[in-house]
Amino acid sequence: MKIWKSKSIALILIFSLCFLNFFLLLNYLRNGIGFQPKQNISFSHKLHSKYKIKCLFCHDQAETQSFANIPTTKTCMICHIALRTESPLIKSVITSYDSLILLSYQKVYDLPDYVRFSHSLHLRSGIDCATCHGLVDQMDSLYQVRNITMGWCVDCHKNPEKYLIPPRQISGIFYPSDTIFNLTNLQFFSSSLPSGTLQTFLPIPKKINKASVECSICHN
Amino acid sequence: MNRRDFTKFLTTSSLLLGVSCHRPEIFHFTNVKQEHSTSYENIIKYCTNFHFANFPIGIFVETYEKLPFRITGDKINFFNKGVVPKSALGSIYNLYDKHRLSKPVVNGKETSLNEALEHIFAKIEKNLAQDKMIAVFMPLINSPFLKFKISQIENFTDKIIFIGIPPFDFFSSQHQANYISLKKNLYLLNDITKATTIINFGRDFLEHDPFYPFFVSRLSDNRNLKIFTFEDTYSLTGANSDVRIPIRLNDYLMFGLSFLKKLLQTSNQKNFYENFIDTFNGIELPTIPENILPHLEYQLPNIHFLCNDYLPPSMQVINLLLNFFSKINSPKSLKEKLISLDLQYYTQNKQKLEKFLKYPDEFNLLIFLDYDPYFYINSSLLKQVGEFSPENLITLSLYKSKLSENSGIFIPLQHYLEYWLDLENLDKSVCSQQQIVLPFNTHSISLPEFICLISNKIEPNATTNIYSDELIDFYKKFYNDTSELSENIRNGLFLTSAKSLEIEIDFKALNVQSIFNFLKSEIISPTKNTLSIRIIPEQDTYAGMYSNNVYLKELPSSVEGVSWDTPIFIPSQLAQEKEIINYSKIKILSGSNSTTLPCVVLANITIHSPFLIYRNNYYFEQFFHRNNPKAANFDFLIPNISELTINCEIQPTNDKFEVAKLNRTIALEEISQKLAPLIENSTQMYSNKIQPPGNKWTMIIDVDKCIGCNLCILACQIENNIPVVGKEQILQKRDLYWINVIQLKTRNGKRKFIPILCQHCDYAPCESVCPVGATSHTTDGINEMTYSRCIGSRFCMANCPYNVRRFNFKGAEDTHINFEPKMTNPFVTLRSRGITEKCSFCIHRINFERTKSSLFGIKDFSVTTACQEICPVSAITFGRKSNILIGSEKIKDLKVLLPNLNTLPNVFYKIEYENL
Repeated sequence: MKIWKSKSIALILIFSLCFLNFFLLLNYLRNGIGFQPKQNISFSHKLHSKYKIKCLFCHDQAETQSFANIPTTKTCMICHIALRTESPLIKSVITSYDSLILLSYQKVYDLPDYVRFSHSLHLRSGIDCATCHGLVDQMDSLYQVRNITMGWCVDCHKNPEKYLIPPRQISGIFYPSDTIFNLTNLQFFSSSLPSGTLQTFLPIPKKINKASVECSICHN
Repeated sequence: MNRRDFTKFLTTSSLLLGVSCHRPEIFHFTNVKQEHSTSYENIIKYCTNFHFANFPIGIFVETYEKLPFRITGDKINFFNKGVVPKSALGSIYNLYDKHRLSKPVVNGKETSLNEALEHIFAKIEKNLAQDKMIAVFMPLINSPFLKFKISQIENFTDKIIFIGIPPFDFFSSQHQANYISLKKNLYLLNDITKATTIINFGRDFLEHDPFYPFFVSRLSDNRNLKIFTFEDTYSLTGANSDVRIPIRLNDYLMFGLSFLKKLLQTSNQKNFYENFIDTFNGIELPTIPENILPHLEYQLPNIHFLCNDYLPPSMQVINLLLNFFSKINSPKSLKEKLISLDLQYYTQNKQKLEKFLKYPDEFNLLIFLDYDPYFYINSSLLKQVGEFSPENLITLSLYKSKLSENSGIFIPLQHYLEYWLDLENLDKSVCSQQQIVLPFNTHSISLPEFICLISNKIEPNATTNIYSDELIDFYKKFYNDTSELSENIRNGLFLTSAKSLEIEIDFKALNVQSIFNFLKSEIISPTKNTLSIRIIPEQDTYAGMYSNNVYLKELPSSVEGVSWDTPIFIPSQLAQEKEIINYSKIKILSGSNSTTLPCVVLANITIHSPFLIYRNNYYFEQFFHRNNPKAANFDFLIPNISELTINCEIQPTNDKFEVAKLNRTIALEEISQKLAPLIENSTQMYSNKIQPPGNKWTMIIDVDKCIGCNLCILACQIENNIPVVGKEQILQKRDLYWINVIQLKTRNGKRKFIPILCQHCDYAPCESVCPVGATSHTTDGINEMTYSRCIGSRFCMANCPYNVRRFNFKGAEDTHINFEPKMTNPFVTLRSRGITEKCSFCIHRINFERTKSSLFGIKDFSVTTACQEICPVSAITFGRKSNILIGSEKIKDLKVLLPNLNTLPNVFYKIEYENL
């Protein structure tokens, strides 16, 4: 009987350990820090940010819409129609542009269907890209930095001071104070730009406000 | 332009091109403004026109990323402001039907589109060379461009004849009546703007009417009018009218005559009155109900007589005379209220059809362009078509059907949202039917493009091969500046109104004596001991054309509340005589033919003869489940639509049939206790905990205005991705509608309709019981639901006193019949199985407006919910509490559901019990 008891205890222990491992694994899968899928095209953010290309040059929809777009091949071809055309990596881009076969990327940050996240709203309230995406300009291939779960979102909404990063030049969202662009110069631009573009230039926020944590803000 | 703006320009232009490549104004006009596509969230608004029974209904369609699904009825400059019919809402979803996506078939083999077209042209050329006739059947489309193209072809050869056929023959009796009385080719549409009383002979102008948007948009302005309805069936108009007088079908003419007699007496037309007495001497006329008599004496010029279009010409003549004699003393008002619809085009086509039916031997090749004699009610044509061999039949239709199986060549057609067309309005303005998406089916061809191809083959004159270019070139003639045309197209028009609406008719030339003689010859003494069934074609499903649309099938019919089936409605007297049990199958015998149909006995409502609303469900069951033995066929019941009825016998059977009914009725006494003003102390009781009330979202429903058309249910379903559950689920009372419409029978015999949705209580009983906090309250006063958190304990459903929460028994993909992810609203999550759901006050629209306003720096923003947007009589108002309810006096007039529970609802009802 004693042996039986000890055996059963051992079994229970093994099962519980398995369960623990399982939940740890689940947790690991869920938080996704370090998630780095293999991309078809080895695009380097680090290389491009060397030449001071702003984030919003390619991901321009992030400013006005909820989705930050993955740029089309057209965007690549603005420069690469003339630059480094002989490089084998660029050649594959050019062939896709000519043959109208789209380049496919793996999503690194993927939210569930039941979550609404608006990039434009967050940019408007003065949140730098790096707050969620990390220092992308120093990554060769992109990987996940933050644990994009509801707990993290709510924590940031409640205590934004913990996570917020001051706006940087490379993101291209804000007017850095040391550049020639002053707010007074905006009027000069407004005449030459198509209507509706003026509002996309965003002012630097003066203070950080706590965001709302109502369910329906993200879950419709 | 710097590089960044250049990329922006590229993306916006690619977005425009991506959504619709063939938009003519993009190709033809260089000044494409940025406002054309609102940059926020890829929403593009289009104005398109839904072609319904030979006249266009304007609708706005908003597309989100190539998905057309949101339809709004506002901001249209046509005659039908802001009213969207059920058919337009539902038929959008025919676009996504899987059955539509098939390849062309030539002699039983699938081929490409070009090959099939070449086969057709070869056949046409062969027939023309042999001097044989070709008939092309198509729906009667009132498009100037198509008329021009058809006339081009018919001028070139006599051998090709285009026959346009209206779906229901509703013009014929009106047209005949006009010709008898006025010798003119006119359709008289009564404008009821200034009317204070309407006397209605069997016309259901609130639901089954082709001119429904026209009437309802006028009714919504003026709710002080009284409606008296004589009807042989039970309709929504009858339910809403102040006095409903149930009569037999034969009595229409007699009642009309007695009205005429009374009018001639009061309007001092002695000569006509003496004529009338002479001709109708010895015929007993029924007495007019006493309620109507004072209106006939004191309010003559403001009275309006409406008549059902399907009633025989004699009744139409009487209706015309009644309208004439009531306004003879003030001819100005008469002029205002008559609108003409030119019927020359209609008569020409009718003559062509008669020619075909007389001499079918002369024709060798038949082409069916979006016209199927199996769907439409025309049995004589079907007989003729059956004698042709498959080699000589060509069909072009949306779906494969019985006809396409019997024909040699089949080519799939395009949906009306996939091509451009022009449509003429009643005021002679021409509106555009815009292309909204690229064709889903790459093997398909549009109807006008096919006609253009034929005309270009026969007579190669055209400068371009692209159809949309030809359409634009046709309208460039009318303009000096192309910019003016491009602006008009953006507003949904090709031509602005050219002529005035008013027409002048010489009433002095009216030969009244001959008309009276004609009427006397029409009086038939009612034959006893014969039973007749009245058959009414349903306009929403186009008498079966759209009955494959599950949204329209599941929607409960507004008065009877029946969904999914087409039962026959039987008066309770007849049921007692024949011993028919409610919800059983009955056998109908007529000659050698017989069929069994489910029946519903109408106990509380008086009708004299059974009636059937013809929805042609059974046809579709035959088409899509061909081996289904249960599919009934009642072809023989519909000999000809102008005959209205058929004599037959009814036998009860032992078979039971479960009819899915969703309607709930409630007594007046019960509702007056439940729907009452707020208790004053209740607001003070919880005042410490409640948020400032001015900020809350509130809804006011005007019960006095509501006509109970159930459009809000349909709009809510489409907007919020509510699945279509099917008949079996509804029988188990597992419907998922977020809005219920409850019927209320008043003391007058009138019906009132009360839409009940989530009340968004300040003290919601459902919130406190949820074990996981899936329902909570926002600062805006919305009772929100977090679907991903719900575990399906259903405590909230049990604790909700209003019974408005619904449990999702299956997931969206399992429940949705014909489910396509494309047709869902991308802003609302698809719910999984095992969660509760309810009205969210269209929270995605609120969030959308909120983000938009914060992006563009606007402080106040207004939101319209889906049900509010669609309501034809604008009975629903939605907004911030401080904006809607100004001052405390207004709140006192409003009622609230179950005020004694102190839940403090945010949905208010306007209802006055004293008048009921």
